[in-house]
Amino acid sequence: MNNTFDWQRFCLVVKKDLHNLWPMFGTTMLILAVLPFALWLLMLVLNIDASMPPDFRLMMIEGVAMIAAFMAPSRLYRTWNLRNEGIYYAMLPASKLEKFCSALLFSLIICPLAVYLGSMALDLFLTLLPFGPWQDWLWQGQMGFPFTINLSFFENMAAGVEDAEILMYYGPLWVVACWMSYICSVLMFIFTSTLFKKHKVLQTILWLYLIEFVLSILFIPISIALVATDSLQNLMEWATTLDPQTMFNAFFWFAIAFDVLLAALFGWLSWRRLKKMPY
Amino acid sequence: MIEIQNLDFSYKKTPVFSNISLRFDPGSIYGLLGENGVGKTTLLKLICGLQRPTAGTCTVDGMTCHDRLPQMLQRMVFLPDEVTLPDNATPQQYVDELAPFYPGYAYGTFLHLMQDLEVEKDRKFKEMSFGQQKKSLIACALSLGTDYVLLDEPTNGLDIPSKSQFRSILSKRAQENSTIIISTHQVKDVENLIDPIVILSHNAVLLDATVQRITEKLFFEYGGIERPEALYKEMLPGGYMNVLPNTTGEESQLNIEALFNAVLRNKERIKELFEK
Repeated sequence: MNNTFDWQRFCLVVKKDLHNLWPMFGTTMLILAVLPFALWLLMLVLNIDASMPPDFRLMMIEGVAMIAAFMAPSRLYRTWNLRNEGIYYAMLPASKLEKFCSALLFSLIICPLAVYLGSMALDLFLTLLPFGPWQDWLWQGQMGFPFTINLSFFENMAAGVEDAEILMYYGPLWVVACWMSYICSVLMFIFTSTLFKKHKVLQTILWLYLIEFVLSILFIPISIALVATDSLQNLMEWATTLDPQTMFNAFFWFAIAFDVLLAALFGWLSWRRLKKMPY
Repeated sequence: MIEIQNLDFSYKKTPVFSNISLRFDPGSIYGLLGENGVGKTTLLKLICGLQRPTAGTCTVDGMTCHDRLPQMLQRMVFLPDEVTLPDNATPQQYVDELAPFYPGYAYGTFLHLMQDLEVEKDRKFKEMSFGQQKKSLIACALSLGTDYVLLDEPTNGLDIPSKSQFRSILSKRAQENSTIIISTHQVKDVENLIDPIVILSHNAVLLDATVQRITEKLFFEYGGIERPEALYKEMLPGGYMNVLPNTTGEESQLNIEALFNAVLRNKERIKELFEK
């Protein structure tokens, strides 16, 4: 018997988690999926005579799907780090890897996809209605907007990039960066769900704010030093010598690398927590 | 076979076990007795791999317990004292969810046990009393057909008829070559059921012996006079009950409660007697 990963056993874990999906997270997923409808209703009630741009609607749908992904581990695997309640999950005859992979599958793909598809279907229905602010089809929108660099913002930047328009919304690098950022965030929520026992999502957000606050305080003296030594100025000048697309590509590469490292760290920490957790 | 060798365990700085060794063989119902807080539940958790020993080993058929390998887990079921159940689920749904993971699961056994314990399989847990929930869980656990059954305070919340039903069900199960370990402080509930008996004390195993060996070493005298040399004596309506060292080899009826008290009050003496 393969004690590390067995496909048949993994399917059983997925089936079990799927079975628990509706009782544990169904209502929340439903509320999230119909959230865009609330805006539609509000605009209708307030008689706002404007069509809601498909771009914004798509962002809303993506937003609720992301919220579903962030909430999924804390709802579906609420008990996995609890001393008594977690025993049921810990004693389930499947390997830790199979259980972890199932948690990843549900948090990263199944839950957000269900909300995304539900929200999309609702959007389609609302668009089909002959009245209301949903008038354009979702796919009729400009699916992204050009990112404009206005040189008035960077007064001392090199010439040649003024009002440069960089279409990168659907560039492959941008897509990869977005997905990596998403995966990293979900893994962070999976990790914190193994860490906190109560109010897992709220505690994660509060901790993030705290960490951000501490980091920003730490960066103040660094920024002052950079400004005082003209280092920041030199850096900006050097940056403007680069081609804007190259500059942004470099930024994306950096973001991707950072997210990959962070995702690996959160994944490893969650895995370790689940493996070593006493009950 | 469950084997514990030179095991140490502590919760942070509080030691629970120090260098204990035990062996649990198939086909027996082990009674794990001890005062509150001596580590009965902890020992069960160590066997299940829910806790990791600080030193020594704990293995099930050669597999290290704390690895919690699927091969080990599908041969073991642990029923804790307190279980949080899905309110809206029924025992049938509960067992249906677990069954695919256990190759030895038998639906017929589940139905039979539910019938024996007089619990409705399609009734929601939230509509059941604590005792009925417990009985449902016992039926679910035993129907999974595992080689090792670990029960923590299984008779808590059971009424008197249910306790007898429970004893009768477990006796049948032991004949099927399963290893059953019952941790309890309600010794009367498992009297005549458990054999061998393991008595735990702080940090150590005070006694690990079969009923036959216990009655070979100790004599339980009922309705007699008070004997000053008794390891334990208790006044009962018909006279004194004395627990004495068995010097004549005469057989007597074991009284677990008296044994437990005798062992706790004469730790060194008992150790000497059973080491002989």
